[in-house]
Order: sequence, then C-alpha cells, then structure tokens
Amino acid sequence: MTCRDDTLAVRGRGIHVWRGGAGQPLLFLHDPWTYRWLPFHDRLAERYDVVLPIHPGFAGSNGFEDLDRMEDLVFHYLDLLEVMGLEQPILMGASLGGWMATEFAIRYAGMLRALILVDALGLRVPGASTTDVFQLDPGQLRNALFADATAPLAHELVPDAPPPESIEAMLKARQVFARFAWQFPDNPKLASYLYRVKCPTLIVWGERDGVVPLSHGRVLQTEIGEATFTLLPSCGHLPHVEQPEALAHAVLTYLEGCGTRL
Amino acid sequence: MRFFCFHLMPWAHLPEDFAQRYDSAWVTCPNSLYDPELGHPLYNRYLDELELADQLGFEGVCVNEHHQNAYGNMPSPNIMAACLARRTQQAKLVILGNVLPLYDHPQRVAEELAMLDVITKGRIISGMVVGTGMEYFSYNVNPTYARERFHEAHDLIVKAWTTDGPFAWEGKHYRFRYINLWPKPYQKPHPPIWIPGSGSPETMQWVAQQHYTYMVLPTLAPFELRRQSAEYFRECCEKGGYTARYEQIGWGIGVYVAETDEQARREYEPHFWYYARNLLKTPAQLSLPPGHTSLATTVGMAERRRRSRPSSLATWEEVERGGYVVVGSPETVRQRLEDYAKRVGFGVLVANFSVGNVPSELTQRSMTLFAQQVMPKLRPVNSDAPSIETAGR
Repeated sequence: MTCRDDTLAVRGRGIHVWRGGAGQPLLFLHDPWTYRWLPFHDRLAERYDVVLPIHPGFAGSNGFEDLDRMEDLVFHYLDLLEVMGLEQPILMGASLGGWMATEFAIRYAGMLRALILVDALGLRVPGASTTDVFQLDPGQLRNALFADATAPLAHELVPDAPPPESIEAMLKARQVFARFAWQFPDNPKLASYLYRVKCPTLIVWGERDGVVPLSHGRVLQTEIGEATFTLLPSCGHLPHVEQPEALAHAVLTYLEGCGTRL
Repeated sequence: MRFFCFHLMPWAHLPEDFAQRYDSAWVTCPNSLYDPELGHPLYNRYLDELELADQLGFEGVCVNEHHQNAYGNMPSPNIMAACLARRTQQAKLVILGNVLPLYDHPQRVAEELAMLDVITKGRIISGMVVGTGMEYFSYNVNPTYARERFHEAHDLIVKAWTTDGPFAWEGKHYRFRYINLWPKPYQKPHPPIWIPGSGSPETMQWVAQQHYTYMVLPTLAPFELRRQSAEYFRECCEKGGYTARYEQIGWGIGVYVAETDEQARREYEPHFWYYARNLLKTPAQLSLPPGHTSLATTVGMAERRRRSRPSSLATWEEVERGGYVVVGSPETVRQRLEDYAKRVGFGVLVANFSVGNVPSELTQRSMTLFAQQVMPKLRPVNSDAPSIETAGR
C-alpha cells in the first residue's frame, strides 16, 4: 500500500499531511510519540481514505506559537476539514490525539460519521490519575507506554539518548505535548459534555496502558450514548504501534458493523 | 573588582547513603528528611554567615530561590533578605534571583523588593531568573511558557517601578486593570537588575540589550565553557553598540581559604563531595522540561551536561582542573582568581564560601581570611572608571 505526503496550507500554517487509500475519509489524530505513516495506517487504508495530518508544532508542521488551548486545535481541525473538503469523516484519535478528537466531538458530533478513541487523554477521573510522563526517565517511560518495553520499536520511539538526526523532532513533539498536557493532561469539564457525542463511538484501550488508567476508557463508554468498548490484552498506551493488527481488526470490524448507517 | 558573598543554604543533614537510596534531591525528595529541630540552628547559622560578610566589608550578600529540595532551602529569598535588612549595615542585599515565571502576580515581586529597598534605603539588587526546570514541576507552571512569562513579568515589574500608577497591564500571561505600587522603590530609576544565566544565547543577547549585569552561574560547568559565555556576552554588547563595563559581568564560584593549600583542601573536600554527590542529584528530565529553553540551546546543553556535570566527576584533581572551585591558601586563591578575572574580564565576584555540610567555623574563618588577605589585593583588578551607578536602561 502506498501513501503520499504533502504540505498543506491551513490558515497560514504549513501542515504536513500523509494520505493513503480510498473511499470514505478517516481522519487520524496522532499521539505525541508517532508522527508519521505507520503499518497500522496501511491496514486502514485498505478500506478507507486515511488522512494523517501532523499537529502544528511537531516536525513538519508549523504554527505552534499561537497554540495555547485545546480549543485552538479544535478550530485548526475544523479549518483543515474545510480546506481538504472532507465530508462526514470518521474521526480517530490516539492518546493526545484522542483528547483532541473528544473535544471536537462534544462540539461537532453532527459532522462525524463515527468516533474512535484509543487510550485517550483528556478526562479528569478522581481517584484515577494519569501518570506524569514528563518526570519519567526513558526506561520508566517505555514501561508506561508499552506492554513489552524491551521491543526494538519501544527503544526506537523512546531511546535512552535520542540520535542526532531525531533529536529536534523529538524535542518539538515533547514541547507540543507539554503545552497541553503539563502535569494534568485533562479538561476537568470534558466528562460533563460527553453526552453531546451523538455519533457511533468505539473506545479501545490497551489493558497495560501505564499512562491513562483503564477507568478513563470506562467513563468514556458510560457517558457517551452509543459507545462500544474493546479491551486489548497485552497492549500498552499505543495499540496502533504495539498491536497494529489487533487494533486494525477491532476498528475495521466495528466500522463495518456500523455500515448500514454510515 | 566588586565582592559579594553568596549562599545556597543547603540542607546539611542528608543520610550517608542518600545518593544510593534516592534518585533526586529535588521535587520528589521526600520532606520527611527535613527536621525543623535541625533546621532552626541551620537557618540561623547561615544568616549569621551572611551578617558576617556585611561586617567583613563585602559589598553585598546574595540569596536565591529554589523550591522543594535539599540543595537550597530558600523557597522565599525575599524573606531571607527581610531577615537581613535591619541586621546589616552597609551590605547590599542581592536577591539572585526571583523566579519570575512562578509568580501569577509579578507585581508581588515588585512590591516586596520596593518594600525592602525603602526599608534599607536603597540596598537592594534585583536578580531575575527563568528558574531551574525543577521549579516547573514543583509549582505546576507550564515550562513551554517559561521565557514568555519571564519577559512579560520582567517588563511589568520594571514598569511598575518606574511609571506612576494606576496603569493597566494587558499582556498574554498577565492582565491587570490597576498597577499602582505602594511603596515605590527607593533607588532611581529602580534597583539594579542582575540576570544569572547558564549560557543560553537568547538570555545573553537580551541582557546586553538591557545594559544589565550578566551573572555567569556557579552551576559548576568547567571553566572554559563559562569563560566562553562571558566572552559571548561581551560580543553581544559590542553588537549592541557599546563596550561592556567590568561590573556587567559577574562570576559565581565556590571559594575556600585556609592557611595552606593542603589544609584548605583537607577541610573543604569532603563537604564538596556531599554537595556534588547528594545535592546536585537531579534526573535530566526534571532539569530540562520541554520548552524551558530553546530547542537549539537544549540540544547543546544536554550534550554539555552529560559531559561536564560535577556529580559525574570522580576525583578532586578533576574538580581543580575544571576550575569548578578555588580552594587554597590566601596567595593561591588570590592568584587563581586574578588569573580567571584577567582571562574572563569579570568585575563582580560572587563567592560562595560554604559548601554542602561544611561546619560554620570553617566557613567563617575562610571568609575572614579572604576579606583580610585576598580582597584588598584583588580590588584593583577589573575596576570600571567611576561613574554614576546605573540600573540599566
């Protein structure tokens, strides 16, 4: 499967966008550790037109300077949908991208065919705090992110010492992540507006997610009207990286099951 | 040369095996290790040492701001300056420095320093810092806004000192309808401003522009790196159209004086290791949170830190060779400081005579020897032509 990438102008920001596949559009909002096309996207691209824009401030996409709140990103993605002319996309988000997708969906659910949240940040759940990832050293971070912290991919995404060719991109990614997620990666009021997510919603959680507790996924399931929950055993915070096949299967099966209404 | 006496006020009672059992002296270092029964004499002894500096004729004493750690127990340096205000006669009180981004109300810094300046009849010097990365964890301030908040807070503080109010302040991070300082500072146009830095080019360029004093921090980077940052600062001043005065470059360093070189090393060394091995223990992710410094600087600093941090030093020979501290007889100390002064061009010496858990008698004897036998000989070095003391544009 081939994908292509390009730079798109979105209200003065130059945004790096990956795209592959055909059919109904699926907009993927990425996490802080991966910002490129992955084998997981190839799988989705077998059935959908997968659009992977890189968030402003990550390597390849500028416009970090006037990003202060989640709302700025919601408006950015509204603008991007308009610029790209994407109609009724499926919106999928992982980790920080999952928080963005939820913020979008509580406001603009009517614009979405379906919502897919994977180990999403964004909720404040009393008694179930997220891990403060910024105070972890690389070894501890790998343990929090991955069920198997020894895997080569874990060391590639979270190296002990970033190789010179990656260091700038990694610092930029961390900076954007910190802008929104410093110490409390949440919107304390988000849960109270989940009732407004009226599109079909799939929530997927890695059972070994060491960043966002499982209970956050359960709150999403409970508060969103039409929600399905899938648990991935032996999987950490980034299922699209650690178990792309299992996640792709869950997502594609779910979307097919919604098929008559999509 | 101008002489100032600096203190960190460290916690001197960490257990022997601290470095093996704990991975940080900052933020998460449990405060169950703090004992107020020991803290009472410790704080008062440190204040005695700074009062001694006033009596010995140092031009000023310096306190600083760090939170939630064993390295330096002054979360409020302004309180320390207040403790010293009415018990010192001539020494300037240098707050080196307030961590501006931690304040949601920068006018609090302006108010407190104005109070101190009026009470002391103009003996305050205002140091302003972005702060260590660790402070951003302790106070939940977003480090990606560190520099923006620093500059906006600085601008607000200087305006509050120099513009009669009430006036409104409309910034990105701070918005107030009424800024109207009661009291106003004693010094005109305002207390001198010193900016400690650890080598970030952006900081140095800005300090040069403002005509402030750049304080090369005693963060124990090797001599050559620190010398280069002073040289870069001087270049920034030249590019800004003027030649830096000696008093615009400060040099922070640990100093210890005893009768002989051998005695000085014997008395100082074990306490230096207490400091280097315990108090400096800081995981990299705590000291370099995202956005705290610019991308380019972060990359460079991470590299240099890995290579040169004293907690990775193993022997006293390495410590000496790197010029991290100046320890010896009065003549040795005079010679080495004069050599540094000539090679770097600093005109303000900020000396820390205390280290780690060194006993107070040793600190005080060292300070006295320095004041009597080193200071007079170094005084003529790197002195500016007399002029009205400027507080910067």
